[in-house]
Amino acid sequence: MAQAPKKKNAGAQNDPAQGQANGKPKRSAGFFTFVMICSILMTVLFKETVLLLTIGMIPTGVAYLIDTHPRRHATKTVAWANLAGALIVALELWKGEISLSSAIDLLQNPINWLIMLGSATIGWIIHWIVPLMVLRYLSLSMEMRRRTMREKQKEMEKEWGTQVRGKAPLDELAELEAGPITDDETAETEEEEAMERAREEAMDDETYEEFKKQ
Amino acid sequence: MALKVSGGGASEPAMTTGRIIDVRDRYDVDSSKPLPALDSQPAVAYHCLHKRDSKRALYALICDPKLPPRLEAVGMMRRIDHRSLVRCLDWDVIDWPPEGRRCPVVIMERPGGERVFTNLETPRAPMQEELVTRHFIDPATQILREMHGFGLYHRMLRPDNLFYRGPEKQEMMIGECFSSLPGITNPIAYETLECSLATAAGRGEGGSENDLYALGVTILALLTGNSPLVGYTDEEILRLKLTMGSYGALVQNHRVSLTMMEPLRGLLNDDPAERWTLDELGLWLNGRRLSPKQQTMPSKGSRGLTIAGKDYSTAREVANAMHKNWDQAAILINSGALDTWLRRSLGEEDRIEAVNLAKSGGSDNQDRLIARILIALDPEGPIRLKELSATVDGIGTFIASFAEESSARQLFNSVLSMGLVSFWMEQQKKLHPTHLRNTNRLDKVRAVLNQTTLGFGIERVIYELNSSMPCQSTLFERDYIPSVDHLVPAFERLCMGDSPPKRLIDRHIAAFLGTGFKRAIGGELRDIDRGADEEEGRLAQVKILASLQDTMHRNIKFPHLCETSAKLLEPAINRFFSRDRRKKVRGKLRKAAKSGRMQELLDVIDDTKEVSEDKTEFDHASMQYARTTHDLIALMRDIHNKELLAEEYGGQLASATSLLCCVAAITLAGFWAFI
Repeated sequence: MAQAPKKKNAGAQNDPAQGQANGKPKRSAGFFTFVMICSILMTVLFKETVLLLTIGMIPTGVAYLIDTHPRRHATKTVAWANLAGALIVALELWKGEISLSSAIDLLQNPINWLIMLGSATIGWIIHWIVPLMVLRYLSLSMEMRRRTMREKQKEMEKEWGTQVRGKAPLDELAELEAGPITDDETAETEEEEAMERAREEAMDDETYEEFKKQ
Repeated sequence: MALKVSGGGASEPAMTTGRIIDVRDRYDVDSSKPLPALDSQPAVAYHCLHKRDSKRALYALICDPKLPPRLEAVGMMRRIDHRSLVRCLDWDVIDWPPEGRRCPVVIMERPGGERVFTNLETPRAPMQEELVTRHFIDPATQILREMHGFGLYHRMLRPDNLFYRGPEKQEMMIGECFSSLPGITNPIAYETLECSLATAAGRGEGGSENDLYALGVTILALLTGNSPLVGYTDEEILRLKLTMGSYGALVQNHRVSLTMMEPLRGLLNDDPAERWTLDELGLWLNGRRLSPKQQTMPSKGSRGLTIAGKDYSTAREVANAMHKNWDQAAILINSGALDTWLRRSLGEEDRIEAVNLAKSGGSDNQDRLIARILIALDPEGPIRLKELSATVDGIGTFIASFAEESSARQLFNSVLSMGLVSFWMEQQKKLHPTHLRNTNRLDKVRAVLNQTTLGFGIERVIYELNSSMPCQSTLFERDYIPSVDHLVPAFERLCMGDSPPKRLIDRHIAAFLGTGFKRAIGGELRDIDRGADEEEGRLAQVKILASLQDTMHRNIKFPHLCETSAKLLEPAINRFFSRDRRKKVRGKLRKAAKSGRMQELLDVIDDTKEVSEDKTEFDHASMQYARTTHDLIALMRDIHNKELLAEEYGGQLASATSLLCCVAAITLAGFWAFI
């Protein structure tokens, strides 16, 4: 129970997302104003397309609400997939007469709903499958690197004796190696995960990055 | 602290091995043919042949290694060529099967006749004065003059060390003088009063006065046909000499002509300053005749001082009695009985003053006080402290003889620390140059004695004070190393055996080298002292022997010693960190060991370039190891947090994949819709 935040902190030191987050420009109020103006203009000028896309992108909105990750990878993944489905339907609109009634007709067609919701589902599937593949890949590659480095150390000890260890922080390494390193072993309990998530939810991106640094 | 003297050759049971031993490729010593008639205790005589001249009558004196012979005297004696001196030809150290060890041997020319006195106990017919003068006194004077000119003193002039030149038993020859320490085997009757008061091992090298005294006693023995005072105990002889003077004690009731009385009184004078010199003896031989000079006897007290139930009248007698009864001496001094006797009975102002001086500087320590008072009472006598009694130049031989006894070492240390030598010097009326030399040597060794490090201490003192002392190391119990140049060959012989030594330099060898080896080896000795089994200590031991080999045996190979040294150096290979390099060095070391040159071993193991390269590479490897460890720690942290990483990377990858799919789908749909 108590190890969980520690692990998170430790892992945070090597978190590749950290740099990305640090480099993320802070968006000003002007930016949001610009976006709002553009949105109003778009709604006024292309109200049929906006209506179609707004209704077609509802799964993305749901994903946004569900996604608790600070960088909202699930929302992005689902959004791109959902957008593809919505645009395919919008192509139908743009191919024919562009009018509100055509847009409503398209929305009344269940096939189009199938396309839009199906694409969002594909997004969710991608979101669930890819991290699992990455986890498997990381497990294998890290274990291989660990073995290579261990063998290198053993070779050095064979050549130079244990004196070669010198002041290397072997105790720290031993402590880390004694801990759980397999998938099963490293799995945190549901309770720990819930606590961690709750903590993360309470923080914005920057506070989370600072927390991870600590 | 009785000194053991080895038995003679006749009593040795294992002398029939029949083995011929080669000496310097010139002589063959036959260990199956002892010549007991020529024994000179503790040395034993054996038949010897010259390889090129078998007709030459020779004999070999096998000396007792426990009582080191005066081998330095052999070299000088070889230069004295006199028909009345048994000539010595050569010396060496040889394997001696009857003893099962190596012994020093001296090759001598065999005298033509038998001994003048078979032994001191057996009387012979008195000799005529004229014959004694012509065949003994005259040649002896010449020989002694020559010897004393070399700074060498015979110290073995005795009737049983005289030989006839031929079967006609007329001319005589003086025997050898180097088979044992000076004067150590002489009966007390043949020693001056000062040396008689000292223990046999503490008599010292002596001087011309000792030889002249012994000459006087020998003349008396030849004239009377009896060795003087045979059958008397040493105590009785001392008492007689002290009460009657040497002349009176030795001559006793024998009739001595007026002619011979003159040299005898002169030679047997107990005052060294009054004793005849060789010049005076020469003048007498040339015909100068004076009335015999009476010896001035020491002052006697009007009444005796009673010590242990006996009365003693002279200061010297009292000093001797107090030494023999050390516990009572303290009572005599503390009760004032000695002072009373000195003032009221003896009345010698000089003596009273000397005793007062002795008291003023030694009241803090009872033993020191007694020793100082003994010196004050008998300034010419030996230095006496409890069981120790030795002349100033005999202190060195004393400690060498009893070095194994802790009490003797303690007494020796006390003599030096109590300043008895300097007090003895203060009390001398006339200082002899040798006294000053000996005092300086003793002052020098005092500092050496107090150092406990390797190369110093009592071992060093022994070698500093006794130039003829062989190396006493337990490694060489069956060998004999008279000088430093014999050390490396002795190691080679030692390493040939079944059990080569585990350590090459011990305290005795270090001290022996410190005295006799001129190269500076202080650094190496310090390394050994810090830990002989450590790498540095092992290296230092081999360095010393390599230095010895380079200095003294440059062209001689010592493969066995090198092999032992290589084994000794094996742990020093650990100074290299690299296992590969160690293996390589080990191989090189084994190869170098076969060369027989110690320096080659050192070149392999003590190659500074190789050692520094190894160190640099090791440092680099250590850094790399530490870096790898840090990398491993980072990796382990990543492994522990791989879910988080997978979530992060996976999320990014998933959104990227989704974007790509989106673009692909729209492109395809657009293509399908518009074209």
